[in-house]
Amino acid sequence: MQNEQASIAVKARIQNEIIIQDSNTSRLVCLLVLRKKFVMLNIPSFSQASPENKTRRARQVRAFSLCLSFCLILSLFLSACSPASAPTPAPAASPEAAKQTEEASEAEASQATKGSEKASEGESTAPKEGKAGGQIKVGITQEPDFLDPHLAVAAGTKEILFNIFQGLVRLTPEGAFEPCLATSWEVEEDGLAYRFYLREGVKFHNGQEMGLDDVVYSLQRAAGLEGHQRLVYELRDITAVEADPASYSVLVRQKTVNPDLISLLTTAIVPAGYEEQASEPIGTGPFKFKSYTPQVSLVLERFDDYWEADKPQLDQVTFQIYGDMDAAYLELMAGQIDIFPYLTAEKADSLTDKYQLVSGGANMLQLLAFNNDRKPLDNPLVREAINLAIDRDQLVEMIMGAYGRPVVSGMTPSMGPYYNGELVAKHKTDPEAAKAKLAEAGYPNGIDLTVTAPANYLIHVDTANLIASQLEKVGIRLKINNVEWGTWLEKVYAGRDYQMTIIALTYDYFTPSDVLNRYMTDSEDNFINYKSDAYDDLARKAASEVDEAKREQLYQEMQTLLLEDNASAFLQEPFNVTAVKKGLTGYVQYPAYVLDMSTVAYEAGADR
Amino acid sequence: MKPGRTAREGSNLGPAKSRTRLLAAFALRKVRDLVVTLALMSLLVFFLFYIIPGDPVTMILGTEASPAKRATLEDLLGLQEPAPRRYLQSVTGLFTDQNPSLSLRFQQPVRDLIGPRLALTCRMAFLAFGIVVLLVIPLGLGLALHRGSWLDRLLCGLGEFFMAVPGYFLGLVLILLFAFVFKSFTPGSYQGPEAGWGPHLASLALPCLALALPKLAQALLFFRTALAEAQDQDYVRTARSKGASRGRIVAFHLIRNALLPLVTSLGLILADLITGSLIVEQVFVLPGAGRLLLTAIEARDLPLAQALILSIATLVVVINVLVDLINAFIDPRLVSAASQAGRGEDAFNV
Repeated sequence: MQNEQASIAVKARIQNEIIIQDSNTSRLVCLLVLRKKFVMLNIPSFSQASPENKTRRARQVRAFSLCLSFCLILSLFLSACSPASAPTPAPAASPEAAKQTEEASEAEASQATKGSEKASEGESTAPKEGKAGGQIKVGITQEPDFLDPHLAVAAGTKEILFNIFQGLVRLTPEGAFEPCLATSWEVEEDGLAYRFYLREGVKFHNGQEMGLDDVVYSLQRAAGLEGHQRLVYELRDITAVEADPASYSVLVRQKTVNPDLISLLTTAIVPAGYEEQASEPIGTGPFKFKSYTPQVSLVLERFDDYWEADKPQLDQVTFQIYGDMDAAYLELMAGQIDIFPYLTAEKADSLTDKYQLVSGGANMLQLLAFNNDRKPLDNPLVREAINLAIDRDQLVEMIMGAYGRPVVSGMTPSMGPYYNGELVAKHKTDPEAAKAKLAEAGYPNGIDLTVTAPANYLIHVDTANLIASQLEKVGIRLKINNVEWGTWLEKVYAGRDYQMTIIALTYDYFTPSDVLNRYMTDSEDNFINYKSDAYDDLARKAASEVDEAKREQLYQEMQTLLLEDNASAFLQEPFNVTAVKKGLTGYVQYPAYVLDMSTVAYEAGADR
Repeated sequence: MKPGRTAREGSNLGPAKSRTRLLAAFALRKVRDLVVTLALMSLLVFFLFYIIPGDPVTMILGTEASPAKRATLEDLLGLQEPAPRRYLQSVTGLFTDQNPSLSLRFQQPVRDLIGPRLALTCRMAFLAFGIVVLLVIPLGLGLALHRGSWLDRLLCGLGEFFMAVPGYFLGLVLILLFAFVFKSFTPGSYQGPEAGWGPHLASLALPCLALALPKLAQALLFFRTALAEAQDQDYVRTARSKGASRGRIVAFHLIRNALLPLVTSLGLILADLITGSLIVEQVFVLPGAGRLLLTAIEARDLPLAQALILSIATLVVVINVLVDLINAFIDPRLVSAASQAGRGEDAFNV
C-alpha cells in the first residue's frame, strides 16, 4: 500500500514536471519567436553565407543540438530524480511531524501571547532595553493590487494592509471578533442597527486624531452612501451611518437583520477626505507605510503613536516581493528571509535547520467542483460515486505532506463553531459502493469525465493527477485539461463552461455567510450551478437569525445538505505553512489570510 | 569617425556631398521603417490582448468577480471607454505628462514604472556586451594566428559548448557554484544603483557573466572563422610577398576585412543580449523589465505591456540601424553600391 501510494505520487509529480517544463518551453518559444521577428525585419548582409560558411554553420547547428539534447536529458534526469527522493520520506514521517507542528503552532500561539506580555513587562521595568526594535524581511509572492484598503481585493494584499489599517472591530487569532477602534457595541432596533462606541486617543499615521467624522466618512465611502461610489460590495446593505457626539458613537443602520455586519466592520477607517490612499496609504495600524516599489518591495515602519502600548515590537518590516516561491527558495536556503508564508510541504521540510515552521488552517477550501448542470454530473448518483471514490486522507498526505486536513462539505474547520465537524467522520471512502452507484446510474462499464485545472497552481494540478488515479479504480476515466489562469477565470469560473474543475476558495470576510451563500441558486458566485430550495431557505433563515446557537445550527445544516446532495467533492483545507527564522518570536497563525507583524519580535540575544 | 578617411578606399564615390545625402536618405528610410514596425507591433499587441481570454478586471478580482464588483472596478480603471480610444490613449499617454498612460495593474504612470526597469535590463545587456567586445578581438586574433594549436582547439571546444548553453541555465549553474560551493555570492542580495555603483556593479557581475559567456563564444567562433578565411585570401599572400611585416598584415589587412562580419554579428548579439537579459534577470531575481513584462501580460495590463514591448522593439531596431551605419563606415562599398543602384532600397541589407 505504502509503495503503491509512493508510486502514484511519483507518477503524478513526473507528469507535472513535464507539464511545467512544457509551459516554460512554450514561454521561451514565444520569446524566441518574438525576437526572431525583430531580427527578420532587418537582417544585414550576414544571411548570404559562403558554402564553406554554410557547412560550418551546419556543424555548429549539429553541435548545438547535440549539447541541447544533452542538457534536456540532464534536466529530465534531474527532474525525475528529485521527486523520487522528495516524497518517499514524507509518508512515513509526516503524520507525527504534522501533529508536532500543529502542536508547535498552538504552543507558539500561546507562547506568543505570553511573549508579548513578557515584552511589555520587560519594557515597563527597563524601557529602552530588551527585545524591541530591529528589522525583518518577509517574503511574499503576490503583488499587492491596491493600497487603498477599500479597493484591495486580493487576500495577499489584505493580509499586508492588516498592519496599516484597522476597522471598528478586528479578527483575533482565535477566529473571533474583538473591539478595535470601537471599544464596544450594542444591538439596537432588533438587529436593524448597531451602535459602536469609539476608542479615544487613536491617531492616524499623519498625526491627526481619529474622530467621528473619519469613521462616518470611511464607512460611507466604502458602502457607497452620500454620493460616494460603493467600493466594498459586501457593505451594500448598510443604509446609513450616523454620528452621535454626545456618546462618542456611530450608529450603523442596515436594510435587513444580519449579524454578519460585525465581521464586515473590519472595514478600514481612514482619514476623512484624504485622497491619496492609493499612493500614500494612511491608517491607524501599528505600522505606517514607508514605500512601495512594484515587484521589489513594500516597506512598513513602526508607528510610534500607536494606541496599543506594547505594539509593535519591530522598527521596520520589509515585504520583499518574489515572482514565485522558487525565486525565493535560494535566499531561504541561505537564511536571507526572516518570515516566509505559504510554503509547499517539501520546501518547508527542507528548511528546518534555519527556520521554525508555524502551520495551521487559514480558511482555504480546496474542492473538486462539479458543474451540476452538465451531463452526466446532473445525475446525483454520478456525483455521489465520485465523492465516495475520493480518498481524502491520501490526498492530504500526498499533496500537502500532511499539512492540511480533510473536508467533505463547504466549510473548513477554521470557521470554528459554524463548522459541522461530524460530517468528516461520517463520510467514508468506499470504492465498491462507488462502483455500485455508478452502475445504478447506468454506467456499469465506467465513464469518461474531464477535469479542468488552472495550470499556474501546482497544487491543483497535483490534486487532479492524484484524483485521476483514485477514480480510475472505480472505472471513472479522468481527462485532465490544464488551462492558463486567465482562461480559467473567464471560461470556467465566470462562464461556468466546464464539467469538473479543481480550485481553492478563500474568503473576503470571516463569516459563515460569505463561505456558504455562494451556493445559493441565484448567487453570482454559484459557479457549480447547485440548485436546492431547501438550501436557499436555510441560508435566508441563517442570515437573519440573531440567536447565535440557532445560527450555528442552521449553517451546520447547510453543510449537511451540501454533502447529502454531493454538490461538489470538497477535498481539504490546505494549511498555511510559514517559515519563521529561529530567533524570532511572536508570529501567530490566524485562521484567515492575515500576516500580523505587530507581535513579532527578536528574542533577547538573537542575531538581528 | 571622419567620412573622408574611410572614403579613401571607395572605388567610385563621387563628391562627399552626395555621400552625405545618401546617408541622410538612408537614415530617413530607417526612421520610416522604425515607425511602421512599431505601429504594426503595437497593433499586434493590442489584438493579441484582445484575443487571449481574461481581462484586467477578471485577473484582479479572481474568484471574487461578481458583476457589481466588476462594474465598479471597470469604472475605476477607465475600462468602460471604447477599446480604440483606450488604445490611442495608451500610446499617446506615453508622451504626455498631462494625461499619462497608467498601468492597470499598478495604478502608476507607465513611464515611471518602466524607466528604471528598462535601465537595468539595458545596463546588464551593455555590460555583457562590453565583456564580449573587450574579449573577442584579442582572443579571436590569438586563436586565428595560432590555428590548430592546443589552445585553439581547447577554446573552440569550449566555445561550441558555451554557445549551446542558454544564459539562464548558465545563470543557475553560476548561482549554485558561487553561492553554495564557493560561498562568495548571496542569492537575492541585489543592490540598486542608489547603494553606490561599486556594490551595484558587483551584484550585476554574475548575471552579466551568465549573459555574456554564450554570446562571447558565439562571437569568438565567428570572428575566428572570419579571420581564418581572410588569412587565405590573395591580398594577404600579396602583402606577405611584398614583404609587409606580420603586424602590418594583421592590423591593415586581416582585422579590417574580418571586422565587417564581426560588427554585423555583434549587432545581432547586442539585440540578443537585451532580449536575453529579460530572461536571465529572472534567474537572479533582478528588478529588470523581464518580470514586469511577464506580470503585465499575466495581468492583461495592455498599457504596460504595450509600452515595454514597444521600447524593447525600438531598442532592437535602433541597434540594427546603428550596425548598418557602422558597416557603411567600415566598408564604403556598401554606400557606393547604394548610389549605383540608384533606388538603393535594400542596398544596406544585401
